[in-house]
Amino acid sequence: MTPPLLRIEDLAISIDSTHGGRQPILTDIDVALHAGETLGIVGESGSGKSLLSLAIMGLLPAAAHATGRILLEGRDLLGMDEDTLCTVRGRNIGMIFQEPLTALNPAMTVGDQIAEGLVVQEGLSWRAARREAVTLLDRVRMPDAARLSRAYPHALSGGQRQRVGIAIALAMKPALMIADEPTTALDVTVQAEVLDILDDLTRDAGMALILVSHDLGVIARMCARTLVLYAGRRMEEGATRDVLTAPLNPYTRGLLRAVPRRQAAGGRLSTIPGTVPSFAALPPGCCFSDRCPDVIVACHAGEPAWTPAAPGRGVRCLRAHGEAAS
Amino acid sequence: MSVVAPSDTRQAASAGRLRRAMSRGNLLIGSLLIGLMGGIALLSLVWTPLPPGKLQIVQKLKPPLTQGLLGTDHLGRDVASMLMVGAWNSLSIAVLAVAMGAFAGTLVGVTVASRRGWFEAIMMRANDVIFALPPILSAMMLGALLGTGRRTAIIAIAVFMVPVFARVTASAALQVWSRDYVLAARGAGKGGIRITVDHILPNIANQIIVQVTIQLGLAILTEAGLSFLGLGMAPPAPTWGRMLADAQTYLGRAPWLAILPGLAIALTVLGFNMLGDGLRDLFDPREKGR
Amino acid sequence: MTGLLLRRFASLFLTLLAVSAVIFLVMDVLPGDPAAIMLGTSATPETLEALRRELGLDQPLVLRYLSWLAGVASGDLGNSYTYGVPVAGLIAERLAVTLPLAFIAILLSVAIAIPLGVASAARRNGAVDYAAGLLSQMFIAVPGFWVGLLLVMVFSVSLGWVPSGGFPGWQAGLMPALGALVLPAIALALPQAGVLTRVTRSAVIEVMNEDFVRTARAKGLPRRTALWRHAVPNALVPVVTILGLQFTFLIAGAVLVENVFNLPGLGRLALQALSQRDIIVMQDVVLFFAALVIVMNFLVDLSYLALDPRLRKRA
Repeated sequence: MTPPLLRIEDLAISIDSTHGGRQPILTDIDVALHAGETLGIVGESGSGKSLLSLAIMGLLPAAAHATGRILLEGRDLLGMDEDTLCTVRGRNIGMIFQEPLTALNPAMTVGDQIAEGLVVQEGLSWRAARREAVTLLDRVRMPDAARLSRAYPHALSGGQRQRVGIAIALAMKPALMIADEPTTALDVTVQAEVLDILDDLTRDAGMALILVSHDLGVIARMCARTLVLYAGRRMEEGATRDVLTAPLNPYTRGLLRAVPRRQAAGGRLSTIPGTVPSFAALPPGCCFSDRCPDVIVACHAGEPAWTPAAPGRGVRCLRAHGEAAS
Repeated sequence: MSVVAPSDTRQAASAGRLRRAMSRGNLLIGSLLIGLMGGIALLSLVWTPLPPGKLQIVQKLKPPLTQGLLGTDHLGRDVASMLMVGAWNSLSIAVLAVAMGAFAGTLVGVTVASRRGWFEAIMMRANDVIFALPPILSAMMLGALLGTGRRTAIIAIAVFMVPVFARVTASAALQVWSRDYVLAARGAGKGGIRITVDHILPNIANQIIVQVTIQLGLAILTEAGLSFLGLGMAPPAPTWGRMLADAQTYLGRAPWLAILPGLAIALTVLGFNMLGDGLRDLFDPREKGR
Repeated sequence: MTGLLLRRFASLFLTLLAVSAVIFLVMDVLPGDPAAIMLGTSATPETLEALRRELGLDQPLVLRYLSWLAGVASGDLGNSYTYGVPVAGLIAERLAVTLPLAFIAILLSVAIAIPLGVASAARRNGAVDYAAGLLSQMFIAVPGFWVGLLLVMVFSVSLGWVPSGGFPGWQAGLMPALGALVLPAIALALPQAGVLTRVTRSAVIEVMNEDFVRTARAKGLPRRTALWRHAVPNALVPVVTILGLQFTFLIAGAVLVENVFNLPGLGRLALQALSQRDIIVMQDVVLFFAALVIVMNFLVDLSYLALDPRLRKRA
């Protein structure tokens, strides 16, 4: 088997806390992603999923510290110097951000923002790069691409801005695309269209895709595999179909029950009781034990270990072991 | 191993501590400087090494330490004594002018915030007009009609301070006006003046204090400029500005005459500015490092 | 776009009108008879009366204001009492010194402040940041005219590199004339540079936290490129705003610095007029200075349109 495109081993990220000392955020993260594969990362806000995508880009804020290894085509990104990282960003990994309005420079035409990476990284002339930018805008199905490439972001709609975001990330045909909540800030009607574009283009180019979202529907539609995060920990991983139809972790089951769907009259939307605890106030033992409906005494005793259940399938839950045994 | 450049990491780790230390340092050094200058100014009222007006032509242009602590000027006057009295003259003019300007400006500012409408439009236009006339120009106009002197200097500086304080107070007050507890007070039937006194002023006092401190530095600079041009206190009262004007003729022979009064001005202004920065950090920790 | 421009123009016009009225009123309402002030103590009642008539002081206030305004609008600022020449010519002559001086000082302060402020922001809390912070704190605290004195002391008196002041006139050639303006411009620029450095730093720090800077980095732009191409252009609006507001202080500083370097500029003209009690010249020069400040701030308003494409749309 060929080595994976991206291999994250034992990654942990902590952040300087205001009182001095460091607050661990992500712990024990392991991910393997082959070329052309799609992986969805699900979690509520505050689960640390955005920090994970920034870590892969090498764009963590100065107050964050990462340990472990992030191997891209065998090279460790965490040990890489800044200059080399610059050549990896955009070229090997592209990234699409959540907020299409603030993610674009208000004082630069969108065409130039797409062309810029090509000029700086690929050494194209501005002329050639701008032409390429129009082609890219065309590919993200931007109407009237030539004219709109000369527009400033404020003149575009939210959906159009996010297409620009996709075009920027796509420009250098990276082998890996990371999309961090790419449709969360968009109107529902536009979401589907943007997802379609993203799906088509990554598939055509054979790109691997990591899609970070709190929305199981989006993940189900886009990703072959799913990783569920809670409080900075892997809770469950597997083929998306397995995770969604036969979840092993009570947290995943809670997430699934909380997805709105058509119901008989009088049915109430189920929620997970409580809120995501702050990283400084996690319960002892399993991090989900204070909200878990299936909690038993043993859950408070210690953090359950990550347990592979099948090839490409794993879970972190004491009860899941029991179920697997029985 | 860290993702970010090592220097960034170190910086981030020590940034908070350094910032806090800086802000304390501002406060400390600022108050020390102002305390020193204020102390000297007050001392000059009861004691100076020599009477500052005493002429000793035979002892003229003596360098520091050869005649008196800081030497003598072109008329043989004791520089140290003149600087001490100059401190009083500068500080008293600055304090009076800023006090007047801050009072009138705050009054305008809180009224604008509680009234809005045409009153606001007129006041803001008036602010633009005054702001276009720096104190040096208004001192010239006033000086032509009233004669130059301490009174003219104070009025010219104070008038310029009014729009400065009006703007700061109005924008600060408007923020407070939009808060829930003010809305609640209005709902309870409290009038504009009552709300301003009970809720607005206490909440913007910190910002006004910071602004007063910073503007005191500016007033010192302005006063020095005015007396440098002969638009300040009339001779023979010694002022830092006029000492600099007199020193111009003796730059080669007596450089200390040009250096010392300038240092006095710079240290006083520096003191006020550092104190202002320190107070701002103290009152509003979020603004730190901005 | 045109609607906005028209509104701005109307506002500019109104402010100018208000300033002229204030200046006129102050000069008129304050105690003191301009004719008596101009003639001094030796005046006889007859000459006083004659001067009053010449100045139009026997006419009602509003009429005098309007005729002054009409004169200003048509470029006729009246005649200087002491020089006996049209004030407009005097101002034009002096402006040829003050305007280049102010312009060079602004350029210089921007050339110092932007790199220093950006460098501070880029390595926030680093050594450069603290050094720049200290330096700008010092620039703000020192009076510009004192810097001028020190410059003269070092470069003219001690080293003898440049004359200690005076102005050869533009007819002497570009280099000698510019040479005479270099030290005064430095003295004028340093306090401005101090203020601008602090504003630039905080504006850039704010923009550096914006998402689009991260997008730029995600394309693989080096920190430096992201900084200059994406953060700095978006931080310029507050910097230009302060530059406009600081113009008042630049004008005040110019009056002082002209005095230190013996430059025949507008500021010195005003001072001479004051000592010669040439009230007409005073009134006109003060109005001119105020108009300069107001027009400068108007231009700053317009420059926002160039700096921020979002405003163009809204306009």
